Amino acid sequence: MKRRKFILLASVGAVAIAIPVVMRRRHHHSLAAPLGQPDFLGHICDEATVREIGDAYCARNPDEREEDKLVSLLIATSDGDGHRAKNPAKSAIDSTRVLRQLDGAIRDDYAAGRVVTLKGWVLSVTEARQCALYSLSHQ
Amino acid sequence: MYIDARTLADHTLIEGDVCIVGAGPAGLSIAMEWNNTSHKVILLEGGGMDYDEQVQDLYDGRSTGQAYFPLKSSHLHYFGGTSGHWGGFCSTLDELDFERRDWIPHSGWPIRKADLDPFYARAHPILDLGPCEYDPSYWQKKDADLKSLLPDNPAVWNKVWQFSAPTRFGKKYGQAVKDSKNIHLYTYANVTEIRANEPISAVDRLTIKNFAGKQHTVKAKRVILACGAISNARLLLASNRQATKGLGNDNDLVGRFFMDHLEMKSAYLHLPFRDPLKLYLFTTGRTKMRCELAISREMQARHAILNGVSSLKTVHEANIDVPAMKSWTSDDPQKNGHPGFWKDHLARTISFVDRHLGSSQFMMYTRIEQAPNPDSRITLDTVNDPLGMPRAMLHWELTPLERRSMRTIYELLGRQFGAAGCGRVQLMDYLEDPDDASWPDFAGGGWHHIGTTRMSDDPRSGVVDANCKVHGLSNLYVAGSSCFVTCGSANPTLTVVALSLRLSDHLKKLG
Repeated sequence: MKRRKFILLASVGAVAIAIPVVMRRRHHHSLAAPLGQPDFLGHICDEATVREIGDAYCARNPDEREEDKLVSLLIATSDGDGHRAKNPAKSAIDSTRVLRQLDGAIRDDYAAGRVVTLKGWVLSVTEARQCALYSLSHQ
Repeated sequence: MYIDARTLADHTLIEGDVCIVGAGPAGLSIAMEWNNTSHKVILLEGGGMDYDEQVQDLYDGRSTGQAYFPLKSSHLHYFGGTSGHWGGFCSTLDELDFERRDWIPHSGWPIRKADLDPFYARAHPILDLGPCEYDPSYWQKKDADLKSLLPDNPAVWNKVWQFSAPTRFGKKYGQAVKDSKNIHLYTYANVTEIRANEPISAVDRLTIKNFAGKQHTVKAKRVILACGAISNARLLLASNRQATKGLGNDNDLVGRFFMDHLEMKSAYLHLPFRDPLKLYLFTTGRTKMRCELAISREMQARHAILNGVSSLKTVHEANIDVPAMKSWTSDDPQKNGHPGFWKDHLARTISFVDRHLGSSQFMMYTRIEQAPNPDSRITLDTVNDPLGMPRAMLHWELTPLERRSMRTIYELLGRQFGAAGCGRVQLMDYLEDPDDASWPDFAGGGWHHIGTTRMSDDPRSGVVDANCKVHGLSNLYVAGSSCFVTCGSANPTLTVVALSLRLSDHLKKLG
């Protein structure tokens, strides 16, 4: 009885932990594509340039060289002030809204001087991360 | 009145009230102010009324340090002076340019921009410019297509440039000078030495020579040197018979602080749409005004940078542009600066098409002041020219501040375009690395010789005072860009003429 109860509770616990993780990962993966599309840069430069910029960002910031990490950072950025939202999965359900918020975050980056110069491009940190995400997800 | 000094009897004595040495924009602007007055004006021009290779060769000289244009071809030695190959770009200096800036050693004029403003207005008709209006809104009210790329912001503003035809001073003022009753123009009258009285408190006489082997003497109550920043310094340094370091050079300042603007391609501006950028683009012979992107005084102070601007040209047009340092390489000024018929035609066609269709990619060109640097200087060479005067030697030296400033300007521009959501800036390769102190081989100046007899109230820090009088010599004055303390971001000719008019007024008041 005790063994059966233990297995049941362990299974429930594992599922309880796994579901949000899996859901979050699935959600991250679903967002990776739109988040990794720097909208403005997409209008003014080609794919190879976006990847070059992304590679340069990863080389300069090796601790961010992971898709999940970049997605989290971009979602957090979209929620304002660069702080992680209390419930990122919930707040990032609407990818359109996230992208719109990212556009605002990019402008805020420029205004506040949160810029990096990569391959000569003077870019907001947020759109540089978008380039990095694009580069990683297209390797 | 016009006299060819070669035709005078040897050892002629020429006397007048005011003697102006040099008939370029500075000298002629002053001379014309004195036309039809009771004062006898002696106007000395080393060359003739037209280009003369033998005379031009007197400007030949060596240069060391940062690569520079051949000295012989970077300024002109005949009536009208360097206006003979002037491009016609005009703008005023900014208020900040006159102020002492803690982050720029040796900055700060003894005059303010407000002191020059009335003379800028008077200089406009001399240079055949439009109204003396440097507020973009004045022009935007006249033409609604002159739209600003950026909304109002604290970092970047639109600085207005106006374009002269350009005025060729020799052509414009030649006949008036010849017809004048009180201006006595002497051509082929090269001043080779200034002699002072004893104990060197005033100019006593000038020695002039020419290739006819003749030597004459000029005496005047007041003498104005208006030969350009290289020759003004050269003449003072070479007048060393009484003062071993040269006249006006007790504090070893004559020839120092030589400056030019750095003018070069620096970055790309990418827009998400095609735009003719009518407010910013320039077509030779057609554009009367345009704006360049300038950095606010607050941002210059915050980032401790020099004053510089960025002008725009479509990438198509810029791609056929050869950097001046690569194209202006001949000693013969007549062989430089001519792109050739087909290339010129191509550039004009591209310009025409881009103006009508617009473009989304633009080259950003920098024009930035050089930091005043005592080690960037004109000295005398050990080699003499055929008239027996030591040749000028230039050591052009830049500092790390120029490079850091240039890079910072484009980062600031990049931030503003990004914040406005209207474009992105991409630095050229040579500006990518903030720690790289080198310059690319196309780094060069704008043929703007500036700063060799700088202005200061204190003789220990300047050659001339606020009225352009040489310290320690009661009747010797200097006109032109050699008096500038800093160069700002504007081409110097408008300020040269304004400063010359101010000097002229000052001398008139003295009587």
